Amino acid sequence: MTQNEIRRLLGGYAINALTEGERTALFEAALEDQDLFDALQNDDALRELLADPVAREQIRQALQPAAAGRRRSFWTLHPWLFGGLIGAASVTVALVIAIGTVTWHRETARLATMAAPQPAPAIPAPARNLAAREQTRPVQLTPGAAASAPLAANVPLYAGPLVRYSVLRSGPSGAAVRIEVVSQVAGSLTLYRADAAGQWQRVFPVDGPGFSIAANASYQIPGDPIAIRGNQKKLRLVIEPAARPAIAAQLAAGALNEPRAQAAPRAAAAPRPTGPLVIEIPIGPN
Amino acid sequence: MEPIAARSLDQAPIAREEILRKLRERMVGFAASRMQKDAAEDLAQEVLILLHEKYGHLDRLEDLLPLSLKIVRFKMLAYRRKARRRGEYTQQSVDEIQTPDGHADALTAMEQRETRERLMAAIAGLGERCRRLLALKLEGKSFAEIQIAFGVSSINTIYTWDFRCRQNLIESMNALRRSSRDPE
Repeated sequence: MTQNEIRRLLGGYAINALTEGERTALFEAALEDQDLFDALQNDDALRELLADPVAREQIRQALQPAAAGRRRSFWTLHPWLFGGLIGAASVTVALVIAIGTVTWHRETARLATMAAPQPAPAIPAPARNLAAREQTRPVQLTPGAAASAPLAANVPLYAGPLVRYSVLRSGPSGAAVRIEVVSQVAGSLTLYRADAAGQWQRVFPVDGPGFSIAANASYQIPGDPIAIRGNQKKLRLVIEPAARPAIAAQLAAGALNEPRAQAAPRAAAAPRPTGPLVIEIPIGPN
Repeated sequence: MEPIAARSLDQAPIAREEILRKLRERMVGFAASRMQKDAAEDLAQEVLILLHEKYGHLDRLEDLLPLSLKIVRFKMLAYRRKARRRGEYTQQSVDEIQTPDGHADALTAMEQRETRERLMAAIAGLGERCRRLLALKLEGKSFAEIQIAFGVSSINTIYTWDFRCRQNLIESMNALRRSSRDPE
């Protein structure tokens, strides 16, 4: 095992990103090599911290201010640009809304004309327009829409093998729950809870972007258990898969080393979701 | 180093006794670099007793090694606490460590909180490259993706950067721990 191979495995182990085979190889090597064992032992506290979702979130936030600070300093240096851009953006938004409204009215008028000769069902006009829009505008999960799409009542729920979860109960009556989740796809994760009115409320992370997860790593979320009260019996887990460069492109660029290159055909053959995975978690009686 | 990773798949896994024997060597080696030799041997012996009495059902290296790392870490923490408190070096009961239930006792929880605070302080002192690398790793990016993000020609460069950044982080955390305990 080369020095670089050892460093690769140590780096992956620190964030729980190794495959089972890689972990075994690392441990077997550590059993024979005192320096490697010492490195694993030294990394252990750091690895445990990075495995904790709360600590990970804190670290992520701690890593963000540097970039935000750079942005602020730019705007501080060029305040006149800010005003100009705001004005330009307002004009653009107004134009887009105006063009969209005109186009939509023309489209609905054209569809109403086409539908006129057919036997008219007893649907009120607004509902008919809505139906026409639904026919002509297929639902597409764009990145911008992905955040709100999982909250829709009729969103397709995922029940396949890519995501496994279990409900961890605590508290005297077992009404405080956390979710342990393992996803085969890396990406960002968000957890929602249905409130008493049936509306989905985001509970983890409370705001900002979703919580980043690595593939095949176990996470327990949120940091503090969720208290389940009354009829609040449903949670919804949304995993937005991370964008990845094509495996073939990575291979061509020589970016994958030997073990991953061997795994690449298997990874390519595995089903890969194109949109967010929405998993509904019923919380049954304890 | 023995090319263990190349061991054929049909070969029998290493026996539990053999794993524990090698683990003991490694634990003594690690602990002896941080405490007296006798104390290091006692510590390794206590870990083995714990593995025997509470985790006798585990026989895979993939389970035993990470568990040993964790127990050694807790034992060394306990050793330092006792040494600092009253100079006691009495043996610690095997029931003091409750690693599997996931709920830390108050003292361990405090240690974890302090470790987290030291980590945050150490991160604040990291260079821009290390901060970016760590952020990409936490986003779940693979080393190959990080290589592309940095635009470097060799992935080995990323392995080296990552290794050095982690070393810096751990050294900074250790320095912070030492300075917090010896403020003068």
